[in-house]
Amino acid sequence: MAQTTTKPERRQLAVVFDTNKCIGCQVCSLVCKKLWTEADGRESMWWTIVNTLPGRGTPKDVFTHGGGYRDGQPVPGVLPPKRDWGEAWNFEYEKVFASGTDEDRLIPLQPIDESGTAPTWGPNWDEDMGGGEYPNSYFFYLQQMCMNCSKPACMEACPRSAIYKRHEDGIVLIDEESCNGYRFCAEACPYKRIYFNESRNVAQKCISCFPRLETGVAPACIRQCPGRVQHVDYMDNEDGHIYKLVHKWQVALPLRPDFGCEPNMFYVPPISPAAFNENGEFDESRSRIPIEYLRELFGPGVDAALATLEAEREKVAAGGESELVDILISRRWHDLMGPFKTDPAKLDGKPVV
Amino acid sequence: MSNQNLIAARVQHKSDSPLGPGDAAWQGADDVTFSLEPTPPESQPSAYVQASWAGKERGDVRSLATRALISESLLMLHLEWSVADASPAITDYNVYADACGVLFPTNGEAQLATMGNPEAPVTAWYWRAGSEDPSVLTATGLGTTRPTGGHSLQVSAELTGNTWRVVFAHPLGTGGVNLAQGDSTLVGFAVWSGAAGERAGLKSHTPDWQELRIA
Repeated sequence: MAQTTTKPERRQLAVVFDTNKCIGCQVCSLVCKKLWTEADGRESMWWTIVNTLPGRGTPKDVFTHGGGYRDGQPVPGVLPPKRDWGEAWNFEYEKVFASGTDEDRLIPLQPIDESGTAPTWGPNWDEDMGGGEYPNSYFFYLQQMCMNCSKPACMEACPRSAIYKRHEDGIVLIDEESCNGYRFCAEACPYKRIYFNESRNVAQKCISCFPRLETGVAPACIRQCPGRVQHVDYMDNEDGHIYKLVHKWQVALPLRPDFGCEPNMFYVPPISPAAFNENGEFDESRSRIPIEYLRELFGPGVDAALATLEAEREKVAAGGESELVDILISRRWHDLMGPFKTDPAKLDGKPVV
Repeated sequence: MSNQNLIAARVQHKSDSPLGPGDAAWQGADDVTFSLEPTPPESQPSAYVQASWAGKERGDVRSLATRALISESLLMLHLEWSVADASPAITDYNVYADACGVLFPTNGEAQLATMGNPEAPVTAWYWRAGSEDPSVLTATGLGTTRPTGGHSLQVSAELTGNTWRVVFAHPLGTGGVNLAQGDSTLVGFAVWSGAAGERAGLKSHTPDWQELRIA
């Protein structure tokens, strides 16, 4: 009897990142590096990275290199040189620990880049510098990785159709067998989340830990986050955190929606303290983080999102209950992970990476 | 089709290794210089590439000198061209390397401008500066090149100033190169200028098939 196969339902995986909870510890960046980018030409890559905002980002001046769409048409982009992303550093261990001179042993361990000189730029180089003038200085953290866009500019740009979006979860992946290292995709990504592997002549990027997802395990950056900052689920799960934060409560917003790629990573915008006035007192009428800056990052929905967050927080502060605040707090760790709650240590057979 | 015929002269060369680009034996082969044209951006298979290259200066290389020799065991093609600014290797994220290619219709009436089609594929010999080995590719249309399995194509290249001299050598009787005395095949040539950002379908090429004849 002939077997019939049913194509799986088209679904979209999505992530929400709460800027109000991130402490900038870079654990997400480090677990990603440990899993995926320690070797084989990937040494300088940070498929996920947390940048301090306001800041120049990773690569340097990250949002100024073009790409994405304007009025539905592709926008030409440029690819910054490797030094603007940050090279893989080494440290002068030999000089400091094995040198025979007291003078050398007194030198603090210094990083050196691939050319053997002190680096002048790297991932999140301007950490915690932020913006504003004292006493109204401010900063917050923003994790960036591939956002599995609904309109992926990278995929459209590839003349070889080497990039594809998976039907079953909307993850955007690069087929390295088809990739010829032309790097149009990296130019076209307005978020500059695609790296180039020079030794293998292929483009590489975050793969959303798909081997983990396929065994029910959440992506490493999400599972390992000590701040419980990220949530992951399918967008169509109306009972899940993602749907509720993005669609029901509308407090999770896309990054730079003006780029036109319809990303599937969303951000709860930072709740700003009130600004200080010239007498050093709080001026409740002014936000320390300029709202114009947040509108530029997260679009025009940010005003309403912040108003909703504030109203729900006040409701809880007054002794009431709020589904939104409960979701954002996520008292139960597993609640962040939607259907990807499996403990990788308890999988049968070969451990998942 | 151009009337310029590239004729592969016979050469006494016993080795299975190709002649070097500077070997004196190349003086015994006629030099046929082809005019090259840039590929039009509207022919690129990606709207992004079309948008990025619309109005940009294209086709850095406008002429290519070719020679052909045939030994008992090898067909050898000698390509020589100059670029404004040589790019001998991929040394950074935003650096592209010079490259060259030779295209043959695999069978049938393959179109050069479309890199063949599913019914009439093309075969390409490709070499990119900085890479150790050349590739043998097949294509059935724009953006469809795929490497063939094991191949015996060899390459030898020299860069002097901004002038490249590259020799492709393929064993006779393998990989579709079954050329006997008096035979001819259609052939096309392409050159990529890495410093000009040329890669993929962005290149200078002979706009029509040329004829390669075995003396």
